[in-house]
Amino acid sequence: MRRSMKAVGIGVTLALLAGCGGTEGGGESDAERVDGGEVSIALPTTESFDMNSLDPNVGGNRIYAHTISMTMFDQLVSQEPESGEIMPWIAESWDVSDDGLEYTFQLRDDVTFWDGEPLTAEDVAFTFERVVDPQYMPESAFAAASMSAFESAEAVDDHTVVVRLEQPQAAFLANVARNFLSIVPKHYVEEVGDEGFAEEPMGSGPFTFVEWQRDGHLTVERNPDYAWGPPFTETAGSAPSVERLTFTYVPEDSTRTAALQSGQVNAIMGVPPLSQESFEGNDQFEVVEIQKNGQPGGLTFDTSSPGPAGEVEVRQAISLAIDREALNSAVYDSKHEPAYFLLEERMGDWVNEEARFPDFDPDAAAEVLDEAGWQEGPGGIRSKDGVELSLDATTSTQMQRTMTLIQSQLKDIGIELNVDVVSPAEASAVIQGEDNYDLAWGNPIGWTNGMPDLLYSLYHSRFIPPNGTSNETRTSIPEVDSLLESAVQSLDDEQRREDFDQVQSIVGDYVSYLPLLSFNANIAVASGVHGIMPERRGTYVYFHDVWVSENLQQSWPGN
Amino acid sequence: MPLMRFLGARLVSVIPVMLGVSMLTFGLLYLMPGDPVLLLVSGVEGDVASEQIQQIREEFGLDDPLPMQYVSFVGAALTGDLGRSIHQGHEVTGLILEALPNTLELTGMALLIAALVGISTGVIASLFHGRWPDRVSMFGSLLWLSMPEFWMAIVAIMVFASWLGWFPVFGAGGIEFLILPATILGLRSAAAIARLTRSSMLEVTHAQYIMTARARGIGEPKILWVHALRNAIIPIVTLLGLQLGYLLGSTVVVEVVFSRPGVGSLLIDAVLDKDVPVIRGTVLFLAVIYVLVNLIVDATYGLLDPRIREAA
Repeated sequence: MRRSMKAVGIGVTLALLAGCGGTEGGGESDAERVDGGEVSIALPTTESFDMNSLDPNVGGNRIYAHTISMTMFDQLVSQEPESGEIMPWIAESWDVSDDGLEYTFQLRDDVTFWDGEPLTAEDVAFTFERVVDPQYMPESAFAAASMSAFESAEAVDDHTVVVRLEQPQAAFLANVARNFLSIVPKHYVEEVGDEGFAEEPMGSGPFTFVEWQRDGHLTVERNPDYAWGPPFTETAGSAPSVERLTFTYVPEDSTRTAALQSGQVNAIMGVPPLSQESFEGNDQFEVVEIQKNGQPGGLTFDTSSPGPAGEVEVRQAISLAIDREALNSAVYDSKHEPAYFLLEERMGDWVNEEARFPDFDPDAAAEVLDEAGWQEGPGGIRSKDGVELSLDATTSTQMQRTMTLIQSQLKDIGIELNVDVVSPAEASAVIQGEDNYDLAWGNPIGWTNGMPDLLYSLYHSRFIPPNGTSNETRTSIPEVDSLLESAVQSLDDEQRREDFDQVQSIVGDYVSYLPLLSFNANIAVASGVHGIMPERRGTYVYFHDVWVSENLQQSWPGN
Repeated sequence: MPLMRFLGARLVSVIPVMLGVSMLTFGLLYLMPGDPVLLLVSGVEGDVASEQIQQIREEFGLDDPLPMQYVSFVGAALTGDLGRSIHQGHEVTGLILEALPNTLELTGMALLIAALVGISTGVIASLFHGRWPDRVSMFGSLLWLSMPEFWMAIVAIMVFASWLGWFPVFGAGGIEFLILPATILGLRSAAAIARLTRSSMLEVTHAQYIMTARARGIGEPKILWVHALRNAIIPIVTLLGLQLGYLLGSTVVVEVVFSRPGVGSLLIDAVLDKDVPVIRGTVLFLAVIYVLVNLIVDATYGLLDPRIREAA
C-alpha cells in the first residue's frame, strides 16, 4: 500500500551513488513532488469501447471521455471537491444582480490557449451560446440541461462577460463548473469546424493534446505555460508535474486488473470490487477511494403503474424487505456502501437526516402487505382480489446479480419478481419510454455536481416521459412540484434546504425510488503515482496535481 | 476454361445469399427493442427537445416504412456506402476499414496457427494410431474444444501476461500484442482441424493406392506428405474455410477481452448502443467476407482435385 521495499532499496542506492545531499534519502524523496514521468491510465467503459468525440460541449455523455477532456480544458469557475464551494478559475471574480438574473464575470487576463492566443470574454460567450444551440442536439443535451435557465451571454470587453438568465437558478454556478461547459477557443473552432475540433481539440488546460489513435489510446502532454489551475489544487499557479498522460479503454474488468498488475499501465479507473482486495493487500499498489454525489443506485418504480407497483404500500413493503448489507457483501465484497437516503450522504447538509429509509425488517414488510390486503396464497406468492403480487423487474446485464438477490429477498415476503435482463440500451428504453413498467434498476445519478437540484429533474411532473426523460418514476405530486420550483429558483440557501428536505421526505414516503447502494468510483494506482483528485461529482478526476515518484519513474517500464 | 465457368456459377449463387443475409439483419434489428436516438440522450436530465430527436430520426430515415428503409440501404450498399453511425457520425464503411487491418491480422495469424498446429498434430496422431501420442492429442483437443474462449483468454492473460510478463495484457501493435490472442483463437480451430486430419489420414492410409505406392518402394515420408496428405486434404481445406468464418466471428470475444480495436469490438459497441447502421453494415461486411472465403475454398478444390473441376 505504501511503497514497495524494493523501490525503497533502489531509492537509497541511487542517493548513495549520486553522493550528494540534495535529498534526505529514499524515504523522504517519495513524499516530495518531482517533475517528469508518465501516468498510463486504463479506463473502463459502461457503454462504448471507444469515445466518439473530444468536444467537451457538444460531444455527448461518455463519462470517461470527459475524464480525458478535463485534462485539456478549463471552466469559468471551479468547485472545491469536498465542500462544494464555488471558487474562481478562469473567472477571478463575479457579481450577481439582486434578482439573480444577471451574472457579471471578470476573467483573468493571463490565460492563453495552447496556440498562444489569449482566452477572452468572446470565447466564454461563444462557448455558452454554442452549448444551447439546438443544431447540436441531442449530443449537446447534457450540457444544454446545465444551461436550462440561460438566456444570453455577452462579452462586454476582453475580460468581462455578462450572462443573463431567464429565471433565477440557484445551481447556476455549480452548473457552470461542470466539465460540459469547458471554455473552447472561438477562433480555432471556427477555423477547423466542429468535426475537426472533435478529432483534434485545443483548449487552455493543464495538458495539451498530442494524439488520439483509433487503436484506442490517447496521449496528452504537460502544458508548460499553464499557470491558472483551480485555487484548491496544490499546483495552482504552475504547470503540472507529470510529463505525459496516456489513456486507453480496457472494458473487460479482469483485463484491466491484469494490466495494472503486469505494469502495462500504472493506474486503472473503475476498480472491480472483487479485485480491490488484491490491490489493497499489496504494497506495490494503492487504492484511491472516490465517493459519488447525487442519487445513489437503487430501484426505480413506475409509480403510475396500473399494477401492484403503483400501490404505495407494495413499494413500502419492498423498501423494508431488502437487505442492503447482504447485497453489498454478496455481490460487491462489501466494497461499496449501503444507501439509506435519497441523496448521497456525502452531500452533508443537503441530506434530510429525518427522511432515512427504514432498516431491513421483513416482518414489518409482511405486516404492511397483510394490512393492505395482500394475502398469502399457495406457492408463497401473495395475492389480492385474484391478482398475484408479481412484478417485472428490468435490469441491464451489469446489475443482474444484484437484481437476482433482490428477487430472492422479496420472495421471502411473498412478492414474486420476474427479472428481465436486457442490454443497457433496452433498459433505458423501458424506463424512459411511454409505456408503463413495474420496477427497474436505477443507476446512480450525479447531474448537479453535489447540489440537490437534481431532485427537480428527477421528481418534477413536467419531466415525465414522453415530455421529458428524467422523471423515470413518473412521480406526480403537486406539492412536490411547487416545492421544487421554489427551491431551484431561490437564492436563499436556508429556504432551499427546507424545500429540498420536504421533497426528500414526501418522495421518500411515497417510495418513488428506493436507494440501495452508494457506489464508489475507485481508482487503483501503482505506488508512487500521487495526486489524483476527484471532482465534486465523484465521477471525473482532476489530473492537475498528479506526479510520479522518482522510484516509479525509474522502475516503471513505460518511462 | 471450365474453372472460370465453375467460379462464375458460384459467384452468381452469392447474390441470393447476400440478399438473405441483408434481409435477416434488417428484420432482426427492426425487432430489437430500444430506440437508438433516445439512447443518445439516455440519462440526460430535464426535457430534451423532442423536435431535435425527431429531426435525427428523419435524417437517418428511421421513421420510413421498413421496405423503403431496406431498399435505400441495399441501393447505397451496392455503391459501398453503408450509411453513417448514429452515435459517432462517421461513415460506417470508414469505421470498418479502419478496424479491419487489426482484425485481419488477428484472424490471419490465428488461421496460420490453426493450420500448422492442427494438421501436424493430426498427422502425428494418425501415424501413432492407437498409441499414446494419438490418445494424448485427441484427448487434449477434445478438452480444448470444450473450454469457453473468453475463459481461456482470461486465464492466458493471468498466466502469460500478468504473472510471467511475456506479453502485453491488452492492446494492438507489434507481433508481441498478437501472439496471445491469436493463439487462443487459433488453437481452438486447431483442435477441430487435428481431429479431422487424423480421421481423414487414417482413411487414406488404408486405401489401395497407398499400398501400391509402398509396393513400388516409394519412401515413407514421400508417401505420407505427397500421396496420403494430398488425398486427405480436401475435407481439411473445407474445414479451414469454415474455420475462417468461425474465427472472424470469434474475434468479437477475443477482441473485447484483449481490448484490441477491430471489427469485432466495433460490432459489440454498436450492438450495445443499438447503432443500427453500424450493426447491419458490419454484419453484411462479415457475411461478404465469409461468402468470398468459401468461394476461394471451392476454387482450391478445383486446383487440388481436377475431378471436381470437370464435374462442374
